[in-house]
Amino acid sequence: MTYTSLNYLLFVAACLLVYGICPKKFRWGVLLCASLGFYAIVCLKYISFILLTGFTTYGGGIWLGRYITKSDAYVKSQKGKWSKEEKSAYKDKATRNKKLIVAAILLLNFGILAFLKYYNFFADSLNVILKHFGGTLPKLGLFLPLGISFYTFQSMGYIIDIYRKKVTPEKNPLKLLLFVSFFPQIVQGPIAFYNDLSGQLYEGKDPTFENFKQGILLITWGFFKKLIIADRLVAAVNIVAPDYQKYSGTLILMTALIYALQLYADFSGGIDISRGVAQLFGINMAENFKRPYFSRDISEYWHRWHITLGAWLREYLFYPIAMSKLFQNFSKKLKKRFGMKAAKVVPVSIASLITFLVVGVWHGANWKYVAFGFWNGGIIMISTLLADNFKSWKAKLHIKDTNKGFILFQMIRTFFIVLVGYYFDIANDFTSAMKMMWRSVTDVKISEFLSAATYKMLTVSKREFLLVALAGIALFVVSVLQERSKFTLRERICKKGYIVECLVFMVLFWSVVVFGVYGPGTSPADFYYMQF
Amino acid sequence: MVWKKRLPKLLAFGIVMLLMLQLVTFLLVKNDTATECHVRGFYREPDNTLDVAVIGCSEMYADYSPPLAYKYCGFTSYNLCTSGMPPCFYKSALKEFCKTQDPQVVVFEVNGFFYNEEFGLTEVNRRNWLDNIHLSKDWFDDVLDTAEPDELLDYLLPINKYHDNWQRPYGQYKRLKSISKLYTENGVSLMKSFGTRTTNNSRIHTTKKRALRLTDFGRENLLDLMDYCKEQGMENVLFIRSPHRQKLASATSAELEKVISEAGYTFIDCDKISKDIGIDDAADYYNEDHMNVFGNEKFTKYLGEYIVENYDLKTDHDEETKKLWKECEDYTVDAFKVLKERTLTNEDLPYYETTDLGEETHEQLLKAEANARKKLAERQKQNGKAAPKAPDGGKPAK
Repeated sequence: MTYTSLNYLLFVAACLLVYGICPKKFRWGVLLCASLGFYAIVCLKYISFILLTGFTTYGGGIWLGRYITKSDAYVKSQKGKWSKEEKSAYKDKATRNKKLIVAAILLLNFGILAFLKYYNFFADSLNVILKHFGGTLPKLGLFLPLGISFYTFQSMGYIIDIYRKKVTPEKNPLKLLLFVSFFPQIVQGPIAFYNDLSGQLYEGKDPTFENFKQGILLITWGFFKKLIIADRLVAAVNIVAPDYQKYSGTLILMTALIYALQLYADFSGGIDISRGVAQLFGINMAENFKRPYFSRDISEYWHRWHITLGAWLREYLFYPIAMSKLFQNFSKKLKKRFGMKAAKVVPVSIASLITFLVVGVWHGANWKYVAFGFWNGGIIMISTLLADNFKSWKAKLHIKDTNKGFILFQMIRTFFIVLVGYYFDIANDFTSAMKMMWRSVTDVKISEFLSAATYKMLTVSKREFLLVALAGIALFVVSVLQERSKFTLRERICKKGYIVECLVFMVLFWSVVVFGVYGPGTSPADFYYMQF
Repeated sequence: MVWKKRLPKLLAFGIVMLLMLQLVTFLLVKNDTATECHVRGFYREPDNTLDVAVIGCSEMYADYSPPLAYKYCGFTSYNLCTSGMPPCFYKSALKEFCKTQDPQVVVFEVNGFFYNEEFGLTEVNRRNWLDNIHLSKDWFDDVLDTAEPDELLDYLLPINKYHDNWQRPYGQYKRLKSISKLYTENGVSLMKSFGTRTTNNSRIHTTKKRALRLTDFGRENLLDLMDYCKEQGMENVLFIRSPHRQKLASATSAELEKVISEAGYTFIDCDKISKDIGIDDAADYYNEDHMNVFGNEKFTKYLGEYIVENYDLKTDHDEETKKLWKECEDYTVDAFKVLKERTLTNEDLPYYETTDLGEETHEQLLKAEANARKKLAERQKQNGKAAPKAPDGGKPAK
């Protein structure tokens, strides 16, 4: 049961009906049953993993919460009795213990994720060395349970928030399990913070007609992106990249460009479906995309692309690194030797690089993803280090930031930087990615872009390309409209009245019905981010 | 109160969505245009105007022409058949026929009973019938009986299967043009269910490597069909094997004869008597299984005369029906003249009444059609109805 199947829509409709009928205080239970039911239908074999994460997170949260309460109370009870040193020593000890508890929970859950995801990669890498000593690590037939990255990140965020006293531990294990397993987001996010989502999940809001309309519009728009654009292009991406040696640089470049559109349509379409389904239940989930290809620099791109992962990494990885004692000491040393600017910029740049390396590794166990992290982190690092130089160059060249031509140049430049990153994504390995890039630069013929033979090789018919081009234009127009307004396009449509609402919905709906890739003879393409 | 306000809007929305579903389904659902026209054409026939029901596989639209039977013998008939009709759909076809007509004689061509489940119940064969008949409980039962579980959705929502036809706009245009002739121009099918190829040795072969014998699947359905006929009190039921270039083995013929006669019905193996009918194996077929227009004319005459001689047919019809059938007869006679000439040139093109295949180059046929239309228009004018539009403004297309 994929998010784009009729079965899923029927499942959602049934859940919504039961949710609406149920008394408010039991509605979270309906969502929990639906979430576990969905997981069981899709991936019953591995349901124990999500249950394990849910219950260890619950247990860990309670344990940590109790320790915090107890230690805080003890500190309070000793007020006036302890010397400053005694108080500080106890606090240090308590912090150490809290960190140990957090580390234990994180280690267990990230350990499961890391083992399943990276064991074979490390075994392969280590075996290169170990074989010289006569031993090798065995390769294991490991699998990734559905949504493991997403629910692990979300759960561990909750634990860290308890540690930071931003969150009080949830006392009901089943409620926490709902937070971990909420079905519209389980496949590929968005990753939510406990404070943003839990209240909405447990509140049991009444489903409203307004939410229903907007939710349905968002779901249909998600289907439009996924079934008309992404799934129609998926074959074209899969045909060239694995056998790039057989194709010209033009085709490789076209594949990368197609991939940029396909990936965005696939991921953002899936997220729209998730957010739309959540909205039917009155639950507003965080936005995950804000027109990323309109970004003017790579840093902005990462604030617009997979926003919730970026926010998670900033909150729980980047800031802890940048604010760590190690980095603060490093900053102090830099200040002494190279001045204030270096002290500010260099540690932040290094923290960024480390964060992006993690992003790269999170994408998969392969050196190409490490390179992907280096590429993005490296560009951000260089941009941060050279920010002042760029400013002075712009001043010398009399370029204003508001100049439309310059803005367009920045967008195109950023897009191509992103595109280079995509080569690592589509290539089989790092070497292939580099070779593909080289061919894309040295073996491109403009005439091939217009040749029918080129399109034939991509196994997508001319009509399909035309359709995708039209859908792409629609996507672009919608993006421009969204970019220009502080309100979502759905809100604006719903304000226009019944006829406009219905017309927009019908155009979208029937476009999906007629032009979507589904039905017998087609195998529904999995969401790309589902594999992570 | 809010819901009271919203209800009419929601209802209007629901109705528009349903209409859109109907429209999109009509525009995109397609399997085989000729078959679709043959079956849709049946539903265009005025109620209770058909004397004889002819049911079977593709043989019955290639080998038998109802308007010619009317010309020779004076009875009205319709050959409700689809290519590769599985034996389990013979009963369904009979039921469908009897919903709007009250046939005095029912003729079954036995080819479908030679199919085993694997060959007979291919998706194409099933869909030729199920996609084109009207929705009813019988339709639903047939779907449940024959469809794979994972195909159910495709039957209930055909757009799920056929939506990708947007990629074949020319094919869809031709299909819609063909169907529109039935609905907007002709009113009824002028040649009824009819299809041929203009050759005596087609490059298109339809015979698959299969033994022509009564299969278990065929036998089971034949017995069930005969039981049903008896339950319905149908006495005038005739089973025939129409003439084929590939003759039926005598053992199979004898077995069929035995099974059918045991049920009290008649079986004629026309393979045995094709020479008596005047069929020339070299000239009167377009391939192993189907006759061309020459063979069709001979066999139609034979079958028509057999029916008239052996059954007490009452062919009294009102003037309206007679005129309509006269139009059909005239049109078919004209069309056959042209088709015979074309067959002699061995051009090997497909033709069915509403076909659009290559007709632009066949002015003769268009003239014949225009002539028939003219007569039809005159008749309708006399009856005070608006005259139907001729294609291309009444001028032969070039």
